[in-house]
Amino acid sequence: MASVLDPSLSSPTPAEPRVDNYLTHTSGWKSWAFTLDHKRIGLMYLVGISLSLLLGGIFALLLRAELFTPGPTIPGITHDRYNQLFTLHGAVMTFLFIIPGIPAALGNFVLPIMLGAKDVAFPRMNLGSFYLWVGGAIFFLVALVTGGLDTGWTFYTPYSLTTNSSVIAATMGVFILGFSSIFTGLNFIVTIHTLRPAGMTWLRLPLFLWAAYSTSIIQVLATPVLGITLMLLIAERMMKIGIFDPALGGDPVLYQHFFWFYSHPAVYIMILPAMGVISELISTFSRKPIFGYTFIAFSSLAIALLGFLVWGHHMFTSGQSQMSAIVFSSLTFSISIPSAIKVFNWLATMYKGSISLATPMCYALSFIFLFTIGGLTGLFLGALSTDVHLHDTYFIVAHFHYVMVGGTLMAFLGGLFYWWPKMIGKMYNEFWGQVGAWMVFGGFNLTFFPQFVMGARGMPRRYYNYLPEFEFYHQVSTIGAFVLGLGLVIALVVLLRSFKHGKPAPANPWGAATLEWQCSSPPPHDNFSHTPTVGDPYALEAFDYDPKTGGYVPNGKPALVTH
Amino acid sequence: MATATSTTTTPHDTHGHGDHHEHGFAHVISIPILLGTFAVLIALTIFTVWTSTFPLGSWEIPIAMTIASIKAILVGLYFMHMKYDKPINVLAFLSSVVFLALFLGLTLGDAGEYQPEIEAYDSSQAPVPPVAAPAAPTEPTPTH
Amino acid sequence: MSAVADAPGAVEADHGHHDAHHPFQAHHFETMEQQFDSGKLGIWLFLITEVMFFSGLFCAYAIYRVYHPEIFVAGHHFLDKTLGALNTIVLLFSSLTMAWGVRCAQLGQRVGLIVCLSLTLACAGTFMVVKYFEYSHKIHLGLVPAGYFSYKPGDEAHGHGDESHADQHHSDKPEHTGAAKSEFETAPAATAVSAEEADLPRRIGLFFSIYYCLTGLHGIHIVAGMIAITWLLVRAIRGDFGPQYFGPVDYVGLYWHLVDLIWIYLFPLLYLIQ
Repeated sequence: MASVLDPSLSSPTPAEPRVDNYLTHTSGWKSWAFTLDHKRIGLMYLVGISLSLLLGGIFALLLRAELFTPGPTIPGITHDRYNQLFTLHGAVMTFLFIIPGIPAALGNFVLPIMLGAKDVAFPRMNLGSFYLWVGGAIFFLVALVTGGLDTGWTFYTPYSLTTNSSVIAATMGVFILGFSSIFTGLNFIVTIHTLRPAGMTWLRLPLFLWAAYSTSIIQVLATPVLGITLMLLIAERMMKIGIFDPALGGDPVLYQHFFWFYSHPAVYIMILPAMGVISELISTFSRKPIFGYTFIAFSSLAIALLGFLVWGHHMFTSGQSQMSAIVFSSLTFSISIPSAIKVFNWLATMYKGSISLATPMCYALSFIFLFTIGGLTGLFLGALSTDVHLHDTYFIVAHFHYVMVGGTLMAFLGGLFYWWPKMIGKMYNEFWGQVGAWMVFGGFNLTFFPQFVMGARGMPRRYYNYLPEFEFYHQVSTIGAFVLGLGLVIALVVLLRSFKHGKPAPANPWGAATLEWQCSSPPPHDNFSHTPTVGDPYALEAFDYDPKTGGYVPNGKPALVTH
Repeated sequence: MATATSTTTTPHDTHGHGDHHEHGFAHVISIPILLGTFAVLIALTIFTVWTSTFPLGSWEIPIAMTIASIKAILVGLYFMHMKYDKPINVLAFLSSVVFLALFLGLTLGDAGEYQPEIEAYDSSQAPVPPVAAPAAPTEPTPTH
Repeated sequence: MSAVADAPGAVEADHGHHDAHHPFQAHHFETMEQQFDSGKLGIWLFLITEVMFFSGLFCAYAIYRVYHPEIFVAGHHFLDKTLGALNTIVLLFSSLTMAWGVRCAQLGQRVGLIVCLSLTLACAGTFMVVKYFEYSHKIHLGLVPAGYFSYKPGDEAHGHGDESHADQHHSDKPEHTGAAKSEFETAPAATAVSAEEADLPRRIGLFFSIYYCLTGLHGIHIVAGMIAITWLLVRAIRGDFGPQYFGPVDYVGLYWHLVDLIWIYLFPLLYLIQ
């Protein structure tokens, strides 16, 4: 396999000046503010999304601190303020961090290069998506300072129609963020369809791209429904249209149907890109081609499509009819199948692989463990008889945190540590990277495992006060939250320190076979100085470690597996 | 700015089917097809207004929707070029119709199942007081 | 192994120095055709999002139409079938001129394109004017969303008290913040009657809520289309379009046809009820 390597790919010694890359190509704030370069846009997203994670995290720590004892704990946090804290935590994390998360911050950077293209199909739309994200964030901040939000991130009617908090500002923010999401998805779909280079057939796409594609389908089909739902909510508040307001003859369960038609597929927007990242990480750090490529690829599509059929499982106790409950419950079980297929394929990939516990792999392993727990507990909730008992308890809170944090956040961090050398051109401190990863893992479990137990024992969610029998679990959980927070801070510091203290990164530090490792770290402005040669994205045996550069280089061996 | 403009009307304009790559990369629709489609659309509009003057009972919606759908298909096939376009684009658009049907279907089904509860609520309500503008003192809506 | 040939027209770092590079070809596309195909798929995906965006309103319509048909039977009397049919024909004609305009762009017929775009714009304007009359008439009578519904039978003869509603027809669009409240509240409430006394079903206000939401959102899309078509008109006058580059006309055209499609369904659903 004749790969096309640039002389500039061998990393220069620290004394040599950096070659021209996308970071140095142009300078000045305008070259960033008006950039059309997907890599710069991805970085800007990364900064914004990380700040959102920080903000949402602060809300989480505050509310966990408040829950350390029953009744009022922290002076200044009244029950009303508490409602605001959990609402804002949920809304900021969901809409500003997790839904844009991997596609915007990592996908924008990696997708075109992994595909072998020069940019996404619509670079201006890409920049537009970013500014829409910023606009949505601004509306959220306005809501934060003008009246807060206390409806829960789900904005259920009729309370959201009558509360005095800044529902309109917040929902306008979410509406705008929805457009950001839609345009990103649209861009990715067209890019993957039309900008593939010769030889990049569908079955040669790396699995991260299959995941991104499936996610984009959901973004395009589902997000507009959230848009109209929020528009109707705003119209309800402003013009009293009455569609969801029982006092005017409307139907609040209808609101929930509308809301969850988007919000269930939304959770697959959250997890599918994460699964895509994990497929890349597991293969690379087991030094083995991914097992069951076709199954994993099609399972991403299956999850995307099946995800549209199950939204009613959020409404089992809301007044939905029994018939619907039965239908949605049975459909819900079907989604476990493609998810399980992925998990088994990842494990099979690791089996007899040569596993390296680099930082990204620590996160990937955490993902598999935590996502499995999260996914399995979803089955408890999909079954009607158990859900009636568990709904609106801490069991639910634990379930979705296991899949969203134990799942998506782990994959986000894993992907970030994986692609960081490519994005910034620096290696980070491996030891502290691993420390951070395991601290996050430990802190996470300490925080959320007790919540399964207390939920099953009857502790309701979104409650400011609670019975003394739950105090021990809450205290363990709160301590865990601070450990988790500390772990995340360590991870952040590790990455930030690499700017000044990190070794320059080689083109292919991990020995992966996907196209983004064929260009320099950081990549040049146009991604590839020479058109990349498209091959098997998991032909890891074609690369050997070269101690001189600290990275992997092609060894000329033909790949053993082709698609 | 140099743009290639041409004002020739080539012979293929008179028939509007098949692939025409003489003008690059997209099919050019013919005028007779455009005008013909328009004429049928107007005729169908008149027809649907006419049918609405009869008491059709529960057939009213299916008939009106069928006529509307025929109009929609014509607009789609000819004005929107779906007849001559790449299958992927058509497939993508049709998939949205599928999801629309899914959304409406399941929600309608559920709402239907819990209507008896709504009816029970309605009949247990006292007659509704004036639904005037909020200035009215007997305004029943607890909206603040 | 996949010793695949380089992409056709493989470009070095200094792409953009292609010979015969069309001035409107973006740097990341190899050919104008690739650019056109991308844009085409892109606009179709956008149309999908528009269908799903309206889906919520159609769902609300369906729920209330199926389970509370009495409000539609009562409410549709207040809608003018003739104006609705007129608007339908106006929009269908605008679709014709838009499709014709795309053809002109493809053939490089600059004057034809300008005429077609102008006609489309004129039709859209006509549609909005008719809409304005419809809305102002209803608002005048207090036929407004459920929470502010204040219709009094017999008002058509004497006219409702407050004349200042006439120029407020755009304010029922959801994006306006707070301005909407005031003009609905100024209706004199002294002689308002309950829905039953007016011989109207209990939830009649919801009919108008649905009516305003559906037609209002549709109207917003018409206005957005008008802006896009105006932009196309400016570019057409400049002579930007031709057989190698007509994508934007095609894409805006597709959007416009979708707006027409939505109206094709709205018209019978709202106006043609027995």
